[in-house]
Amino acid sequence: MAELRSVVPEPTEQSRPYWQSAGEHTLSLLRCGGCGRWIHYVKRQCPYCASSELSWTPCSGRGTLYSYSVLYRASSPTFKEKTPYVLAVIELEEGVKTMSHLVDCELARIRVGMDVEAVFEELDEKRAVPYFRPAPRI
Amino acid sequence: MHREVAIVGTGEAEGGRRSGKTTFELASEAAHLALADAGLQRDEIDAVFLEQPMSEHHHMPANVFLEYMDMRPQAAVAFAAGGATPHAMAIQAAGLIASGVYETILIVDADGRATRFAGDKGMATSQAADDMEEFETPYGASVPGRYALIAQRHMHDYGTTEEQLAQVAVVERKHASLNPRAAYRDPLTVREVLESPMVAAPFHLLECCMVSDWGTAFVMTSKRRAGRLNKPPVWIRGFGSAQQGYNLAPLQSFSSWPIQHSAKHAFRMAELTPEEVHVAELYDSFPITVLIALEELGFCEKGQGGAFVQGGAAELGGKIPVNTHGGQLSYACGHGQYILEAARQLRGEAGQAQADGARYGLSQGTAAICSSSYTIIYEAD
Ligand SMILES: [Zn+2]
Repeated sequence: MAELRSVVPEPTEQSRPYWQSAGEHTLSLLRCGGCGRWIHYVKRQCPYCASSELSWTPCSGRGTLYSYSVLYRASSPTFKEKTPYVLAVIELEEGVKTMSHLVDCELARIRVGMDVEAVFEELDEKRAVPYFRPAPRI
Repeated sequence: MHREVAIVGTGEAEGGRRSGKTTFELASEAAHLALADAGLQRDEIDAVFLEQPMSEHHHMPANVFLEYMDMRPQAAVAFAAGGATPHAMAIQAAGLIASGVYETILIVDADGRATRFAGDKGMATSQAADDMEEFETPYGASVPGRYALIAQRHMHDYGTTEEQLAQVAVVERKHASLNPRAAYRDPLTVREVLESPMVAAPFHLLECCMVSDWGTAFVMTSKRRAGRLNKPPVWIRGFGSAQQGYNLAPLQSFSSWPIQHSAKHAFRMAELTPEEVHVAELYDSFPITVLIALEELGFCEKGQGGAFVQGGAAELGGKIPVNTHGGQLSYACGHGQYILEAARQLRGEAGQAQADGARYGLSQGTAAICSSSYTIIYEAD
């Protein structure tokens, strides 16, 4: 997975906890201490209430497939190797969306709205990339 | 807005798949043509607005452009609003001219990106880079992939089909076949589109914006000056704009876009309804933007864009001819082409692709997938 590592930027001071948490196979997102809302992507201040009391908070890692596209062409060798891969927007239970891949799913079985859960692909000793796979309905 | 501000000259550089020209060469070529078309001299321009080119990373590109043109206007400003930049510049210009700040503004949009990025697969596969790349690049979210995400959601919400999306490319090719300047003119069928290689489902290669060099320019001026120039003015009748953020994942919904708000503002200012517009030039990097624009501009019901195009409504002779020049799928890459084609139609200069009785026209600039929207409505002289 050296190649995937080459396309993932080094975390910033702000984003490092996201990657560390993923490395421990937990999806953590920022939650505002002022208004309680979940915030994604990374920010220093809450866009809703301007509070700076944002803390990395584990979330369920569960959600639904909001939309997807199966990609057959890619620009970088890393992703060329992965084609066809399923680019996905996941709507998390917490109410925010995130970009990811849908994995472990036959292309013919993909449905918008299907239940998904986070899985993690190791990037290096400390970091992992969150993906999503079909989840049994609870 | 009634006959206060007009487009009075347009120009288009010889671009193409590989022109060998730089961005500033394309920009100045288009600008000279626009000035000549209007019958204006360089020293009659009060302000120059230039799109921040993707292929030249200068921090003051508008001033570099002045050197190429030997111009000394009052203002020279670069705008960065993605594919909607010429529309954004035209709207700012209309406001400044109407309020008397500047009388005559030259608006230029050029990019030698095919020449500059030769060998690169360009838009067909390129990554969109931004501050949030840390959360998107690990997933290979290409430009076609991002548009595909909103197309797939549209298919889910409204039952839009791959055939309906492909039909957009077919209609645009049909129009391009009437246009000697279009890059691709051979007739195309839905089947041929669907049999072209899949890039990012549901989009096939023939549904992806081409990559070419381009340079477009137009001149806007006041009522006072517009009547004394070479060509009949194309009047700005109304405009509107509406925005939200840049990235897709943070959006509340993929089912509702700012285009509907920019349309509402534009039609209100124009005191017109969609039924009264004769021709529409809509940003079309991928077919989905055309369907969403048709719906949100009010040319058809929400969710019915696919059926509307499939039924022939967007063709010349149909209810609202769309992209009568061929758009970015068949005519050329570029952002200013929609405004130039609207002007061409309203001047009656579109040749074989002329829409009948084109008195009112509309052009739509869309960027950040569909998160940035600018709508302009025009009136023929
Ligand atoms: Zn807050």
